[in-house]
Amino acid sequence: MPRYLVRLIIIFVLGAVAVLAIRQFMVPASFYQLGHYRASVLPEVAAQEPVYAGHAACEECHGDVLEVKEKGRHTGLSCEVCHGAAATHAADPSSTKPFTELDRSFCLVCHEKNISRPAGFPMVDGLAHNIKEDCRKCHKPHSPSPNKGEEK
Amino acid sequence: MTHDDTLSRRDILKKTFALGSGVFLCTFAVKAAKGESPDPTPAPKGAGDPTGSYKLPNGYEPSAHYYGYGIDLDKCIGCTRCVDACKTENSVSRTEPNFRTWVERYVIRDDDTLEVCSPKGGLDPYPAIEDPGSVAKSFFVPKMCAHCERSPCEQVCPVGATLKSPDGVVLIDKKYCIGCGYCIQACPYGCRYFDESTRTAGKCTLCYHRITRGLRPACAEICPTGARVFGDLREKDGPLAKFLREHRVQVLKPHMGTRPKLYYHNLDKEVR
Repeated sequence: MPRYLVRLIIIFVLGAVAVLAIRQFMVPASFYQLGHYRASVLPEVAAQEPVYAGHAACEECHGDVLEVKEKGRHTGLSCEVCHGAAATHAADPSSTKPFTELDRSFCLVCHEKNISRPAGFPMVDGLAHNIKEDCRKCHKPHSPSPNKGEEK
Repeated sequence: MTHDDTLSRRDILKKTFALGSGVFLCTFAVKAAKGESPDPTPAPKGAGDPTGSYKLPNGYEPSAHYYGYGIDLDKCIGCTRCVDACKTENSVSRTEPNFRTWVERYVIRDDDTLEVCSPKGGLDPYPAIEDPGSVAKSFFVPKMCAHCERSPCEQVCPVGATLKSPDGVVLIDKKYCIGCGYCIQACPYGCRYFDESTRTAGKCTLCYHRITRGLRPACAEICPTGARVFGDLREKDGPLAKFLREHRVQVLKPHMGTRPKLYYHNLDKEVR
């Protein structure tokens, strides 16, 4: 074999070894563990802390409210729809209190008359339906049908 | 002419190689001395099957689940609490174009003209509909990442920063993302945006931090009418299986071959 070919082969082999060595060093341990990505990204993303506690956390302490809510038309709603994100309250109930003072404009976020909304959804014309009255005068939020509402 | 004051080709090659290997070995030695691993949190190695036994630190096993999402358009009232909840849960900027989910309002007139709007994803009030008498139909369509089985965004990523987890969630590795924006172009549903604060791509994570703790994603948790249904496709008596069993569902752009896992009930032909 001519000498120049031997040299060339040696250079190629050295190059290949260098590439493999660098690759071994640069690619993270978990990179091909699950696929063409770092598997350790899953625990990294999952480490984020929830802001909404979830309905189950509310049920632990507020069973009395839940009983009223289950009988009313707001039964499917999570508490945090109206009371706001409450993970900090669920972790330490004395630290923060979810807001409870909800005015007419908040009710109308869902219940304002709107032709884009599905037919049959309970809607009112906010400018005509007992204007200036607090909704809670007739509709108890946890069981909102008028006259049938519980005290909560 | 002599070569005394210049380097011969052989010398240059020798010295370049020596310098190169020296630098490489030095960085290796320094990193080894510091006890650094190139991967700061190496995942626990699974025995046997590479995906079967992978677990998160809290014991959650990704390969035991396969998530999907259902949206019942008959129930969506366009309150956009889901958009608000997503922003709150994930600390996403409330400015354009940072939307992981948004709600579009469709207005179809008697003469078949179509108006679609989503002011600030639905966080701003929708403009009043002019001439309501000529409206044939109008409805709301919430949109979000479909966590496609064959996700184009994952396929185009040049650095392995977009991934599909074993539980079927398309996620972004923010440490690896170079912000090239290919994935933003590739998504046929427009579900990705460029996050200026991190200079990386941003998208819906299906609230991965919540679902791995047994909670629902924030948007599904907060939807007041139950229009949004989150569930595990492997759970045969779960909420999503029930939704798929009881409703006729469609996906957006099926011809794209992306196999989205976001199923809509009562999707109008005008919705794209």
